Amino acid sequence: MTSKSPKADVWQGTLALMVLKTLEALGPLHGYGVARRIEQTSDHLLAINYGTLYPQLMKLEQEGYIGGEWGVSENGRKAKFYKLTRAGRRQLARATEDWAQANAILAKFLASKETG
Amino acid sequence: MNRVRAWITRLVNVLRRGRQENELDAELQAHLELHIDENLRGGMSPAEARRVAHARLGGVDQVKERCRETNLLRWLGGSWLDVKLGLRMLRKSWGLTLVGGLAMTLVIGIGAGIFAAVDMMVWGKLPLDDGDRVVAIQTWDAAAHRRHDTSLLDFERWRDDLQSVEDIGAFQTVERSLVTTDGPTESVSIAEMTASGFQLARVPPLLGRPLLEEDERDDADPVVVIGYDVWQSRFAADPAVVGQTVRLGGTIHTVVGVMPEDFAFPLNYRFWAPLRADRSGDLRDAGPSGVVFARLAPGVTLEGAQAELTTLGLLPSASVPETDEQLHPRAVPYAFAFTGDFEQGEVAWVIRLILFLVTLLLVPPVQTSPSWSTLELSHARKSSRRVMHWARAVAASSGSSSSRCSSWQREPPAWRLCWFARASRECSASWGLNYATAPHSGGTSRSRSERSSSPPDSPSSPPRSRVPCRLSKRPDAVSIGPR
Repeated sequence: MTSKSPKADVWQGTLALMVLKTLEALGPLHGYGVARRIEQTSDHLLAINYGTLYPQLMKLEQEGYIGGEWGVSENGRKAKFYKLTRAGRRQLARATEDWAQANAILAKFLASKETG
Repeated sequence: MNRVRAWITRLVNVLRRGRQENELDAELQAHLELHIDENLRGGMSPAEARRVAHARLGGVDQVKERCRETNLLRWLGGSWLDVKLGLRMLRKSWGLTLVGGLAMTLVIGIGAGIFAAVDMMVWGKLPLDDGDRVVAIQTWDAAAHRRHDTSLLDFERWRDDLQSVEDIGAFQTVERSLVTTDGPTESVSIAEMTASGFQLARVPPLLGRPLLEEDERDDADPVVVIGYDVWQSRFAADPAVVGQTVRLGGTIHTVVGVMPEDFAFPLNYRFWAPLRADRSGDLRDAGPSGVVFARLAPGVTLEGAQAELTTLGLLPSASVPETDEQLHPRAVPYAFAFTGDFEQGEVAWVIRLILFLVTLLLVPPVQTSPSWSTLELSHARKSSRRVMHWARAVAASSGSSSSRCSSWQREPPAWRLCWFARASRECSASWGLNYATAPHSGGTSRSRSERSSSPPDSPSSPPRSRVPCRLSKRPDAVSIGPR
């Protein structure tokens, strides 16, 4: 009998980065599609709270990082599709760099702790 | 640039809030349908698929509220609701609005007026060149806590010895009947002033010359400088007025100059004659109407002038020597010399006391009296239910939060009245200040008609108060005159 680890919540401040990266990878996508894609990418280890996704999408849209257009989904339903803007690509590059730097710092910190 | 665009987007979202709400509704509905479709494809029953989709989303209303909170300008939409509701309530209870608004306007206007008057009298700058450096020198009776007559000998000593001030001079007021070849005889106030007063004011005459030191000699011919309105009314603006004569009391004076319109130093006079005081006496009534004035020398502060005055002191009094220890000279800002028998620090406390009394007298009837409370409760009871229904309907239709409804329910009608008062406060305070600072008629238009009808040298003529009441708007003249 295998024990399945519980799904982790999305770390604070990372949801925007995940949304931007998802839109960059898949192109225009509706909110439900973004959420499902993030879950799939994490092998369903992350539990997206859909209730927090839409405020994040609205915030990114207000900041001009993503744009929204109404279209028809794959099952024929009307949905709002988001796409990455030019400013969003720059923001994604910055955020990716910041996250990589933070990871590197944390890795160094953990490594020094192990060796010390 | 991105930030600007973000703020514009937020503003647009506020302005198009209805459309945004509709879009958000549609988007969340699409999300639910997509999720339900996927659940159905996964083998769930329709009811189970719908339940799971709603549970994962966490409640449509909650998500919508979180989405609204992402807009940092959302308070703008709420403010508009506040304004609309406030206006509506003001219109419905117009009587209460009128009474409450006017009462608060009155109180606020009085407060603003007092502060403006204090600012003018105590800390105000005379509209003269370096007007803030003009000071008055007084003889202060510390024991009696009042001003004392300044002896002419002390004045002459200050004039000769003080280094910290310049253009030191004095004036006193005399009443004379004015007689000219044409026009009615009337009683006028004349400033008997040293010639240095014109040097201090640094305002050149419109015609002729100002008073000169030679005019102060006992053997000099009597001369007078007249004001602009006297020149207009009594001499028909005759450009050859210089050299003509007027009779002031029993003496014929030669007009030697005309001062510009609105010139009113040391007070709001229309006639200036040389000061020829009895050298053995005092400057007449050195309190309200006889004042020694001077200008602080360059680089000298009021405290520096006071230190020199204290060092110099007063001459011993021949008549009442026992009072000498109580008397000492003091230098004060010029306008302060007309505020009454106060120390400088006392004025602030007097003003605080006046404000307190005004508040005590006027605010409680408006805000806390039983009648007001009854009125307010009655009004609130009648209107709160109606307001709540309306506010809830508006909030629901516009997507506002329920907290706004409850805040409206809690809010007393008096606060709505405050908005009206705030708007009208500016009008009333502005009107009050304009009235207080309007060109005063103490020596001009008001007295012209009033004094024409009063007999010359009449003992029943209303005495002129020396309390400064206004500063002229003209930058080149000071008008500190009777109110």
